[in-house]
Amino acid sequence: MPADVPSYLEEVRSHLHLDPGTATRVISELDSHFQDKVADLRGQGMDDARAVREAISSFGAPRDVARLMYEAYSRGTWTEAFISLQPHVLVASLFATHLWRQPPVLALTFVVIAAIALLGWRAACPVWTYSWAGYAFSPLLVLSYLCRGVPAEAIRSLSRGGNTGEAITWIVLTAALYGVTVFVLVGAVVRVSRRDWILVSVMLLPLAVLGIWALAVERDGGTFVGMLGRLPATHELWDRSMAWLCTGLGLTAAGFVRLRARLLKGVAVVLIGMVAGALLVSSLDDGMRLGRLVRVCLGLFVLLTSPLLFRPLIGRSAERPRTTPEAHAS
Amino acid sequence: MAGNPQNYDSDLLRGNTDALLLALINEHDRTYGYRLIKEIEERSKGFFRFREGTVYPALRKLENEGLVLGEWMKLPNGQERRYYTMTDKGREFLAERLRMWQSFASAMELVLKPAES
Repeated sequence: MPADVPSYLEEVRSHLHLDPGTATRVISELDSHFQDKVADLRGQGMDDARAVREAISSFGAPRDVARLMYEAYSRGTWTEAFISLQPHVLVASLFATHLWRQPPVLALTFVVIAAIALLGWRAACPVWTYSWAGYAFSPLLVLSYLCRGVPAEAIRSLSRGGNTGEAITWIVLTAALYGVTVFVLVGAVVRVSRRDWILVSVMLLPLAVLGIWALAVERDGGTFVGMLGRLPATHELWDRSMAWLCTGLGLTAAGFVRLRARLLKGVAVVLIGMVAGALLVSSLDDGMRLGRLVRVCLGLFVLLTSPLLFRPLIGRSAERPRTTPEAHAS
Repeated sequence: MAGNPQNYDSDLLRGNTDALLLALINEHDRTYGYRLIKEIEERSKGFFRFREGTVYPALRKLENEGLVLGEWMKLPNGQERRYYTMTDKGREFLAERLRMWQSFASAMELVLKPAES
């Protein structure tokens, strides 16, 4: 048990996993309690050190207090659950109507998703931000994946005596794209890990599903870009599967917002991620291939639980609010 | 002392924390967490002793359910304190809980008290 109030409150904060504004409100109220309690005990004749010790021990273990506070504060409203559902519904409708094959519609959808994710990001990161952020990163990842052959092609062109300026421009542009992708993705993962690893998993979940699907499209239909505008019968079925799967992910995201217990949230996200992966693989493959199914499930388990390891790496300091507790009062 | 705090099932207190908090909040224009903890302890003559860290989540749950309203206020010494006031919904809920408690207590007494001949 920490020996002084600031260390005690810091430990509670590090286990809270709430958004910085809410965490500040919680800590301010506890701080106010300790000021009252210590003053009261001093008034009863206790010396300072004993009063602080007594106040801390009668409050309870920091982890227990943080867990109770999390359960009391973390449950989002129905409105937040509804907003969390929307990016998934939007992407599901792109698949259901096959409109993802129309580049302008695809681009517009992801611009809207990225804009809303950015709004949430700038406004104290309410819990619905993370399901939007998951999809918002996908254009960068897809673009990076599609450009994977560009540097090698540019080098080949150089060695064949092609246009040097053009080749170097392509190499620089691709390097810049990779730099931006890594910077944005790693930055987001580190920042969200500081708050809660489960939120990173929520963010990664749609990326994993879209990734499996994009790889299957590549495997089956040549290049991903080549698929735009074509609609073979098998891929129409894939679109239907993806539409259902994205709707399922949406319902998971909405349920996640409404759940109170953190353990339940974590288990739900990892388990549903694995089930989604298994369903996707069995609908994309002709028939069930056990080996591939197990590999995908294991891969998703590792991906979705890996954020658990980030926190010790980046330190335990919780995210700090940008404003005073009063500004967050409700 | 009304009795040893260990001598009751803690689930009994946990199940009635909201009623105790609401009853005390209802008696004041506005009040705050530490004062509620003190009052419960004093009025029960030390019988009800909460793990203090459990009171604030309980207050938050009452606030989430719209039974009380929390508001930050700055004291002259600069300390910021969250005060709670009762809402109409909270008053109705408390009245219902008191009715239920009285019926329950009467029924318990009828069963537990040795039958009068």
